[in-house]
Amino acid sequence: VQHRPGPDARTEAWPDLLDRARNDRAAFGEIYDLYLGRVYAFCLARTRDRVEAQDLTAQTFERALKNIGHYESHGAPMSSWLFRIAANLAIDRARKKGRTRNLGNESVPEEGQTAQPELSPEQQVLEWERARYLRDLLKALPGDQQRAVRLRYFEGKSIAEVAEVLERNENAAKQLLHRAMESLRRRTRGEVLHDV
Amino acid sequence: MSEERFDDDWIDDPEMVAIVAQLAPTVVRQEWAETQTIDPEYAERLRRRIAGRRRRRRSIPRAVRWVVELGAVAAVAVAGVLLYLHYRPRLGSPAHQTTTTAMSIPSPSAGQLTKSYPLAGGVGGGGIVSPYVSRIAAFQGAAYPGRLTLTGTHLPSLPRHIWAYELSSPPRPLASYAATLAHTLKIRGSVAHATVPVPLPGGARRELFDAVVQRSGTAPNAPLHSVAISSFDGRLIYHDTTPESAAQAKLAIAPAAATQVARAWLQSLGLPGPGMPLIAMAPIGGPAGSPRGNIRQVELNWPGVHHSDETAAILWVDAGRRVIEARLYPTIEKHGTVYLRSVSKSWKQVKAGTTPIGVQVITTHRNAPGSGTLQSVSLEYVLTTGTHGKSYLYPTYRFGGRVQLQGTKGPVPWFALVPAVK
Repeated sequence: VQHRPGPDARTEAWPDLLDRARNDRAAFGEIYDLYLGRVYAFCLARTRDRVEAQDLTAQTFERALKNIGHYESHGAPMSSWLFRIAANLAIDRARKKGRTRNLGNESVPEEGQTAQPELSPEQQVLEWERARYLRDLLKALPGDQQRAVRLRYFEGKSIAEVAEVLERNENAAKQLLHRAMESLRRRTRGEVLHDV
Repeated sequence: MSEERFDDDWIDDPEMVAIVAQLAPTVVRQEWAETQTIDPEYAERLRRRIAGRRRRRRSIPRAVRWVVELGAVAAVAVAGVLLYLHYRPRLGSPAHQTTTTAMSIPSPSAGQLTKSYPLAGGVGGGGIVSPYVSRIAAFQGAAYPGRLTLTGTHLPSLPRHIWAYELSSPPRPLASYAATLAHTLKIRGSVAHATVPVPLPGGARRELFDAVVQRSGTAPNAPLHSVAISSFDGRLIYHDTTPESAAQAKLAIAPAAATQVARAWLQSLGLPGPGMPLIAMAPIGGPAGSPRGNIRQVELNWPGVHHSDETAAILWVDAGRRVIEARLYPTIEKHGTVYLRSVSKSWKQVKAGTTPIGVQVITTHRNAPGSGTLQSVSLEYVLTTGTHGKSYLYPTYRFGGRVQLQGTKGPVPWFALVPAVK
């Protein structure tokens, strides 16, 4: 079984599975199967260390198993709860020891792209969910608009560079970016992604 | 398509740019992390540690297994077809998991939003019992017309996204579903189609019902045993006005027993009774020891849904452990994630008076201005019915507190439901 979030990363457990998992470890196993990939990705993005991410993932599920009897979803997806556990554990671990890196030759995102240490666990989870939301919104844009946004705002390229990569003139590049941002704003109905 | 001209010093929508730029690093890390795979051996060891071994099939000869599997598949298929034909789309709860792409859900109308507000009028109950109108009171509330000044600064942290639910459509053909239910409920008669005006405040809505109605006599108030299903929203209305025996009438049923009876009754109709959370259980009112005084109203909700303006099932259970009245909404067909608006912006709307506010009506002070405070904020689902009979559970923010109306003695409760979906 390949535990990777992939395209089904939005699948959530039904309430009756949660209810069964309170008293049935086999049912908890179904929850484990459903969320393992996502929890591991969340932990890996924080630690950027495979071994540490695995340990953190294990601790997250152990704590979830211990506390599932008291878990109340209040309608929120279970993934948010698991991410919050993982974020709390990651902060505890970071306090206890310095981070180590063990990724071999794997290329990883730049140091400057790591989570801000001052973010609370709730803020980390919120930011993770907002990022997923932004990805959903971006995916709905036409391909050339997506590329323009990524080049300009993810890779920090100038308008001239964006135009060059997309083989268009600068005005056309600006127009792509303008339409993309307009579309993002419209899809969020003016309630931008940074609220409260 | 015409091409817009942009100046050299053009800057695109600074607010959106700031947000995208701020989230970009997290998006990049997220995309990278999601391409990585956890060590499968480690994952399996961890699974064994926390959830025990996976259930494995015993090794049996391939030919035997093939025959057994084929038989099992055939049996399951036959059973599935029979169950489907019997109960149509309402059977049980949905699968344990469903893919939750961001769900599109229609916003509630003003009338749908305010139906649970303090009473403007009631429908149902009283008079001759109609097979199409529930005796379980359905109230239609309205916004308070007076001007209110509300204050409050502490807003709790609420989830940023939540599930919304779509309910099953009314089963087709409705007539065969009505016939199946009547058979299960031992109601004798054939299916009748009726277009009936359903009373609503300020008018009536005409709804098509398929029903099986059995009356023990020709008088209009003769005992009635009936089941009716609305094609508008799949709502089921059940009556059994057959009098209970004198011996039963003297014995009140225990609350736990009433709940048990209600759940078992729902299960007998193929609904997920045991998994439906108990929302309320109380006597419907009447002199203690009288048949009416011994009737208990049991309210059960959709599995996983605890706060909603309508409950999935309301049943009356009498002292003889019979269900004598029921109003049920369809089961959940699917759910999906919806992203929520900011709580503070919604609260600003309430304070500005641009969203309807409900106040406990005091007859002589219906329009009095008042001032009040915010004491609680929570999430509550509102049952909405869109086009083509599709119903939804739509998330709203419920702001609540107490308000002092001019000319009244003490403060009274107020609340407001504000659409919460972005």
